[in-house]
Amino acid sequence: MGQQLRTSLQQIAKEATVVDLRPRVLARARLVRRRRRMASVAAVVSAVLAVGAVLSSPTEPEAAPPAGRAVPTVNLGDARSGGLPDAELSVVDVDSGDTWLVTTTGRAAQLPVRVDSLSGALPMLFADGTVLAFGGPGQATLVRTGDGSVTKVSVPTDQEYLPVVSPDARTLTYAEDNQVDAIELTLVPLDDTPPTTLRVTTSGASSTLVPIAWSDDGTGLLVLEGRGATRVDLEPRPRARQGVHVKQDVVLANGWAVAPDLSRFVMGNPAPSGGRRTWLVLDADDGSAIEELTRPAGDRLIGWTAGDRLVWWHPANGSYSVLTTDTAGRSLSTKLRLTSTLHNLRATWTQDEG
Amino acid sequence: MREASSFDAFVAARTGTLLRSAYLLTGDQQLAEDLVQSALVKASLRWDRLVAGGDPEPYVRTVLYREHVSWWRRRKVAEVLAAEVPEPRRSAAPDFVDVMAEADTLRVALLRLPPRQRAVLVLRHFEDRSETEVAELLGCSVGTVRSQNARGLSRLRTVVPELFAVEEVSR
Repeated sequence: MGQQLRTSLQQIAKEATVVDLRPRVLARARLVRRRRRMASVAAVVSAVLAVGAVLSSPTEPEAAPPAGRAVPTVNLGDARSGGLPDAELSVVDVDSGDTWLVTTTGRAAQLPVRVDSLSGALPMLFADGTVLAFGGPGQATLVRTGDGSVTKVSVPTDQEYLPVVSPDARTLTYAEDNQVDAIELTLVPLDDTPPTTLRVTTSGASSTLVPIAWSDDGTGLLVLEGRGATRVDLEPRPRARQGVHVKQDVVLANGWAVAPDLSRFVMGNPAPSGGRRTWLVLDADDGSAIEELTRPAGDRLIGWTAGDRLVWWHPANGSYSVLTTDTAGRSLSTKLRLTSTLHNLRATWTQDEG
Repeated sequence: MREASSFDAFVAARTGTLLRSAYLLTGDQQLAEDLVQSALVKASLRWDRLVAGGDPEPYVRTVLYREHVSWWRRRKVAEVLAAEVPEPRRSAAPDFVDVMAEADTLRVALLRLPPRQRAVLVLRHFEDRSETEVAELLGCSVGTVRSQNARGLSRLRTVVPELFAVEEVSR
């Protein structure tokens, strides 16, 4: 069909001058890689700067602990070496790469592994606190928190990502923005079964961070982006739904949280105002805002418990507290205080609120 | 190092072919070079995976065509490149001069088409891809490829009827 059309198209195509693009392509690729590294580091730095800003400014009074219960205080300097089978909180020093596991009853252990190059990757504590997963180029590191044993898992990617372990600790998942039009979600069974990769259509905003959250029953995942989210159903077979776009200006750099049933997620506004940051509770079905709350600008959102409580990492007066609130930001409760000489700690939380 | 030299070899071997397709899409040498460069840079960032998965070229071409559509949206290239469509030519004499003249008219007419239609025509009639392959490359349905192809051809037929004269006579 259209032989003459083809001939004319070939005639036009011949006008293109073939030039050697190798020097330009290689130089540009180096630049893009450098920018990506800088963007990852910038996310960490912005969090650290926000912490510093709050440390030097008055903060809201913390809620008193429930009657009859003292808030445990943990000094990371006293942490013993080795694992902690009932860890609820993982804390990492973004400068040294040292990692601690902490329980809200006041026990702490330092892990025998170091995160030498974080590049914005946060260690994620999962599977009832029994596994801690770290991302890294081409490889994920899984640490069993009971005995501190380390497993390296090869992953076919050279991008930054946040590996997440399924609730039954049998599957490692990670997501990567393909920088074109989709996110590729990979499920790696932690046995000899081959991995599965799914294309997740993006909601229109790409991001250096592509966090994943598992539902508490292990039947689905929510893949978050800069301003959107996509639900993935795993049964009867893995299938991605249409992604939802968030109209408001929200980012992932200051933390995020997903409801255990994946119905809602929380992201924060990038620009604090008057020392406080606005957070939106968003509907995972359509991206609309359901609730709005504010917290001090230095707070990081690190979890959402089964009792619909948001978990916050709150720097104050030279120490750090783990607080919870309801989804409207009310009913503040202090769970734990951490003392440390370090001022650049980040944390993740697992477990229901006890 | 092996991966780096493999990428280098791919760029050296395929740049010409990619540039020709990009030139048809953009109608401009500089834009074509930028488009190919952009696709190759994206491929370089995941080269190990692409090589492990077999042939990296489908990925590069997918990026090239989809990037073209998004570039067009952002820059409105067509408005700059093709303000006027030449009048349809009436002669159908198939000599060299006429082929060149038809190519000129076709070039401008192509640039007046929406980017997806243009991409479909280039893929179907220059690269000789099947409808299924085109749908896969552009991330749309086969039905969309068919309708975009029909609309694109219809538009070209009104502007450059000579291109279709022989075909219509021979039916």
